[in-house]
Amino acid sequence: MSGHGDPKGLCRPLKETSVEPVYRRRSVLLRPAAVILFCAVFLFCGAFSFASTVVLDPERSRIYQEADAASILQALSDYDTAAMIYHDQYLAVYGTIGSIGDGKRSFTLIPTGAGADAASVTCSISDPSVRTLFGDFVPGDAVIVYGLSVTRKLPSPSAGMLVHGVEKSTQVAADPAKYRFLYKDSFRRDALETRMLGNAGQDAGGIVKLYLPTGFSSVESTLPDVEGYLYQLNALPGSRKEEPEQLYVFWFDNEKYLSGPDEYSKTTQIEQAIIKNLLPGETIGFGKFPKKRDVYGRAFQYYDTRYGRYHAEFAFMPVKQSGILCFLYVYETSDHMDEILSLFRLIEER
Amino acid sequence: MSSLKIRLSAFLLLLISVVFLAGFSFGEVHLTVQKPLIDLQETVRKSSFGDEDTYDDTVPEDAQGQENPSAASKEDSDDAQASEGEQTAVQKEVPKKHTIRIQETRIFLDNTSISSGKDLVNRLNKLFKEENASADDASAGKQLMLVDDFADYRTYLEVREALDEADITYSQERTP
Repeated sequence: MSGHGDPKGLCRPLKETSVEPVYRRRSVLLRPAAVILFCAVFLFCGAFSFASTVVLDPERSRIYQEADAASILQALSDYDTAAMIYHDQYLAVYGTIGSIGDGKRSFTLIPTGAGADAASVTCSISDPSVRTLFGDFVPGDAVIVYGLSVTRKLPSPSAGMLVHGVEKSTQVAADPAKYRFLYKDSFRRDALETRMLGNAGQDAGGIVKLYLPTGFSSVESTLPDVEGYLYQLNALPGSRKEEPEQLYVFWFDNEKYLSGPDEYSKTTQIEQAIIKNLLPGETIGFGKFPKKRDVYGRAFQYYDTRYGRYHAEFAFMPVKQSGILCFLYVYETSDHMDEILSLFRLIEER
Repeated sequence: MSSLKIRLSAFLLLLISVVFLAGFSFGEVHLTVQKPLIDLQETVRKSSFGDEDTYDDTVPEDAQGQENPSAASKEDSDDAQASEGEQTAVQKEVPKKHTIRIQETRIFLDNTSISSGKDLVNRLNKLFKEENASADDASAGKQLMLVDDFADYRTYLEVREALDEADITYSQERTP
């Protein structure tokens, strides 16, 4: 071939050089690394692309604490304190509409009874459905604004709201002990029964304080083998069902159930061990575990699976190195989510 | 030089991967308790039948002693009289109540085997008539108590449905 159509030998086969063995060595070395990298990427993707179907998700039905525009604006005189109380909080703020921006994308909320030129909370509406709803409102309307509050220090201390909903109100003053679901029910924290968990609960002062939703104490039973309670929600008045709807709330004490302090920080592994302990006969794929969310300033880790014919959802809230506040929700239909979410909303660490 | 870099990179990659995978494989935590912290099987099983008001773990001893279906079926032919002593014993614990027990696929009313929910209602009406009271006359103490073993959920539902349709009042007691 080189002697006829290719006098310069351009088409002749390449002579073996010393480069190829090096290439082979690289290939041999890189192949397992590539496989391992692929596995690692696959595992990473599996862990983070998991779309959880948990209903124990506080973001599904947020609960807003009452506040009023006057209190927020007054608090700004001490910015750090104001930020601690009002920054990044789900609030239902009472006030009067001062002015409305173009396209109903924003408005100002002034304290009830204040003049139009008074200091105001700036409210932004990004949700088109809320903008549509806001169409009927005019400056001077007394309203409750539901949303996520934001405070800013610069250029001068100010407060704003990312609006989730607005409704007219006849009530003027806010009650900070009162909590509201968006356009739905409200409840007062100080009217609720409480339970302590951690360090054997009430007697020892407890680590975690729970506020029981109305009626929960009537369907409560103490768990025999772990510090905690079972709430038989399908037995609540007016909701008797054949199928179970149960909420287990219990305290996993690290010192009691783990072999040593070196394990206290292995939160995910502890939670997996708890699930295995509770569902001994079930096949559990932990590749999808857990899903994290920060709501109301707390970190929950979720896991959902099946228990026989029922859904079983876990929510874990680690409390420092002491232990883990555990929730297990077993249900066929989740009829009492608002109550459970109100329980989540008011958890207090001590 | 570049060969060395590639080797070094591959080695680091391997090391990172091994550490990452080891985290998954060897980080397992074992609890110091073997027994489940919560007996879910028990609590879920009990709750699936609702009616918390009448929840009671204690079952009359005599009622517990009547769990053999074959023995109970033998008593069918002898009718209720054969088990009169046992029935009296049950009623000592829970007076003025008739007990329905569900075992496997069979239903027993005061130890008398019942073939279906409808049959149960007929028998109950007959029984109440004999006792000169209407089926839903709670004031006369003619109440029912379901003592179920939860072995057959479908039968249980059938009984509940039949009782509801016939407007017969009942309470429920569970076996421990």
